[in-house]
Amino acid sequence: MDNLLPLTPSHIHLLICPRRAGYQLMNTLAARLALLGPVCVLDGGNGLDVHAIARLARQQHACPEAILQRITIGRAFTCCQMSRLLSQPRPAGMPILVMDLLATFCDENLPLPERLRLLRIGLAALLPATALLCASPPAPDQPPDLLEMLVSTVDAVWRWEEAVPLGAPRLF
Amino acid sequence: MGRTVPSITLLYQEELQSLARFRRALRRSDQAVFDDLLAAAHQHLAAASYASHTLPFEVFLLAMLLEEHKEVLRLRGLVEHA
Amino acid sequence: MPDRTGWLFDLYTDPRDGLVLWLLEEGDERTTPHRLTQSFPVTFYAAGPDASLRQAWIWLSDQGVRLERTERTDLFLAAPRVVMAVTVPNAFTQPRLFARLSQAFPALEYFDADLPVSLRHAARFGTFPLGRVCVTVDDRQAVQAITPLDSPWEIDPCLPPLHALRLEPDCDPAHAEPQFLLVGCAGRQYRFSLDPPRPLLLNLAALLRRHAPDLLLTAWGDTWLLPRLLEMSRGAHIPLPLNRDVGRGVLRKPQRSYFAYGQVVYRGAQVQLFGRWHLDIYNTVMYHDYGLDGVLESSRVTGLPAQQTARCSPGTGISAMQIVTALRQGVLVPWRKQQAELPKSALDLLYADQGGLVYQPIPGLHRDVAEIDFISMYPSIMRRFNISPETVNCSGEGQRVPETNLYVRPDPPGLVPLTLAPLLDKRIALKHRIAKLPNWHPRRALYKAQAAAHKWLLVTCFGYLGYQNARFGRIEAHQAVTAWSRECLLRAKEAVEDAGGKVLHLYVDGLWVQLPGAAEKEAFTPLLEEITRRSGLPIALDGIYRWVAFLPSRGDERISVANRYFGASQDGTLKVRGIEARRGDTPPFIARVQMEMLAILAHGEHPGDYLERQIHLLREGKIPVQDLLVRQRLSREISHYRVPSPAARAAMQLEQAGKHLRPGQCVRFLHTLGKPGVWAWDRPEPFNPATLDLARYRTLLLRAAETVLAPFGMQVAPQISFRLPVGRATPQDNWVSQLIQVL
Repeated sequence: MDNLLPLTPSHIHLLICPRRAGYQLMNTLAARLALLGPVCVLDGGNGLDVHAIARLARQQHACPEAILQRITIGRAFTCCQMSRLLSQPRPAGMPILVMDLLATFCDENLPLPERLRLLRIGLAALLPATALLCASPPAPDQPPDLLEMLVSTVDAVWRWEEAVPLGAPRLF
Repeated sequence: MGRTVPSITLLYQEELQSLARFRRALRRSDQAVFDDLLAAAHQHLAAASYASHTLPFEVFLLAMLLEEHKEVLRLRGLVEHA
Repeated sequence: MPDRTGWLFDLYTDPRDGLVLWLLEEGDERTTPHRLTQSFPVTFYAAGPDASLRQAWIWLSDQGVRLERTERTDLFLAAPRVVMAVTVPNAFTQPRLFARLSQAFPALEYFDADLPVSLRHAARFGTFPLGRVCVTVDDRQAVQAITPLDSPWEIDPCLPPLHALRLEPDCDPAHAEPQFLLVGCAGRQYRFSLDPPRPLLLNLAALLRRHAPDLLLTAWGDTWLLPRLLEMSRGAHIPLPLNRDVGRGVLRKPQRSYFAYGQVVYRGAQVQLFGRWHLDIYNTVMYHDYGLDGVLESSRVTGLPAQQTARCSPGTGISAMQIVTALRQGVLVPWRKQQAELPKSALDLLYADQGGLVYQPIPGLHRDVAEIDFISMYPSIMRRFNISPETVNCSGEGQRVPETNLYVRPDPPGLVPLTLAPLLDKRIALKHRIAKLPNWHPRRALYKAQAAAHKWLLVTCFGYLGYQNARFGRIEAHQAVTAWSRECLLRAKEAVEDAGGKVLHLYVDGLWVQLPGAAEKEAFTPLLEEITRRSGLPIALDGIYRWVAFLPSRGDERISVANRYFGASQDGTLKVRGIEARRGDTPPFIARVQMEMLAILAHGEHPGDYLERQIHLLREGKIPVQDLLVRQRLSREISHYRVPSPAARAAMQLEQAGKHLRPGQCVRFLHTLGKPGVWAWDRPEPFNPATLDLARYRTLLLRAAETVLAPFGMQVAPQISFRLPVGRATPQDNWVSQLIQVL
């Protein structure tokens, strides 16, 4: 898909990553994929940054309007909507980026089993696809079940690691 | 529902932020002039918002030019009527 | 079977009788309440894959309900939908049955499943709270037929005289422990000691029985008084007949904090009654703005019981009206909204995802400025362009929404416009009547209260269209409305400029305009007509300012801000926005001085002497401490403040005194000398006025004074001096003195 992350076609990849870093990475990916062809972004956390994508397009000497035109965006504000979005039909082969997939599933007004059910339905409908899902690790007071379900469904998992500062070089 | 496209005021603030280091290194007298330019852009935020441009900073630059040209026209009027 | 005529006062479900209706029968002196019952089966629907529906059918078959396979209209689908209709004979049992069903079959979609019974009744019989009805009852007081005799859209409805019993503790229970209960009833006042409870309870019970009030109007009744009285009643084994329906207990809802519309909202505990209303004036939406008349009007037009309307959150009222429209049209009301946004390109999103148009006003003082407002702009747009969740599309059907890739089908009329039309018509009719009535006329206040109630509903209606959980919300409809609003404002701006005028400011639904040589209403009439012609929306001249000042930002005086201005209209009334006097956290004393200074300026006089006198009074300690109270809302739990604000520090003091405040609640405090710099007003200890930080108040006062004086080119002297010299000599000074002479 792109050399930023070695993503393989017809596979579903999961990126576990802090929220802000996830947005940045997904926006960059969306811009780079859109340089090559149409791409679909599903946004669960209001993370799409059209202006950042436009700036990236300009840096690549592409027309920002044309690049934005190639990105199809679907936004979800509740987990029911996200489940629906994942299930919607779309052209075969079009890469799918899902930003902050679990954000809407943290709504405690809905019991956890119901949320898990909605997530399961959405993921089942997504298959098969070339997709990168992005989710942030659950907060300490959140149950891990949703992320665990994601991990067990996808083909490959990427984890974000903070850069480890190198120690001072020692002569002896 | 939360808006995804940030408001023009927020975009303006972001541009200001990204220029903060440039501004800091300017001489005090130049900083004041720089602030005037940005205030000129602020005067036309409504039009910039309506424009929905993909690169808002380009519109801000144009707004600064617009205010500059207004000033040129004003001064030209003064000179011609003097 | 006898007929009874009267007002429908209350309506709720009952385990034994199905539905209970309270009718206030017309009488010579006062109304007589009657408890009637009605058999009222309710139906809800389920849809989904055949196999799951079959299983649900089997599950339901021994639950005492009637099942039927039928077709209904789904607003978002072109073809009718096959659904299973579940009819429950007793409306009281429906919520519990539905809860169990939805738990057993979570994958099914449900419709009409969680609707307030009053709305179902309204849809079926045309009834509404305090509507006049004629009922036919049998000898067991069971309703056989019910006919409405008026409509919620009546401008001058005939309302029943309601008998209220007022209950109020002798002080704010958050501030100190009340000692007495003040009771007002039938023109008499009583004062009972809260301790010991026995005589209080006996007296209160006797008053309730003797006067049989229709409503209890209380202060802090939800949060403190009624819970306390009920506790005392239980402890002393003396029953307190708060309800008119003696067979029922009271309905209690706990307090909670929640996040809505970008801020933390605190909802206090609630106590609701059966057959009698309880309204807590401190827990009633905008009671202080439009009073009981506004509550009654909201209740009549929304169809929600008065006790609920009084306490309802934004969106609930308008949602209720949409539900009634949907039920009447035979449209399914979804239990949980599932419609996701229509997929669109990121570029289309950039164009559509915009708010209303807001200009940066031209700062400074301006003369002869007309303020022109679009009347109820957003609702008018929804109606004029038929914007509704089911009419908006991205597939090119109907009229294109300007500057977007959204389209709207012009017919049939959408659910939202259908709901709004009578409300808009009534609001406009009321506005016309108000304009014609003289100020002293008794009906004027009533009309104003009603119009205010409508405004509240209409304002919420727009936000509700885009609200994530709104049953009939759709983000594209929301975007279409704002796109049309920008278009209409720009057309108005162009009309002003074509007429040779100048647009000083433009704010969401209003314009501030100067026309050369125009200072009277009539001079603006052709312009108004032209704007209406170009935009297709009703517009009104709100007033003409003799002068108006648009203020710069506090932080940078080169930058003007949209909603910070003040002005004096031709009849001398003041309009202020965004300055200290309008802010909730400004001490009343400072707000009053600022307004008074404006009033002096509006009379063309210099407010310097007045300001100096007030500073003197402050220094002498002659300002009552209550007038120096600052009121601020807590935005989070106290422990979550990294650097505690004065409000948080005050809340900490209360915490130490055993009073916990939740996010969204207000804290009142005084600025004091030394650390921690605040005194929480609701602390139990008496306050020592000698600790007041007078210098701080003086600074706040001078700052407020400067806001008002700056546009006139006047300055307040530096901190220490109390003199008020006329400031730097600017060209405006001359202008101001001219202005003052003219005035």
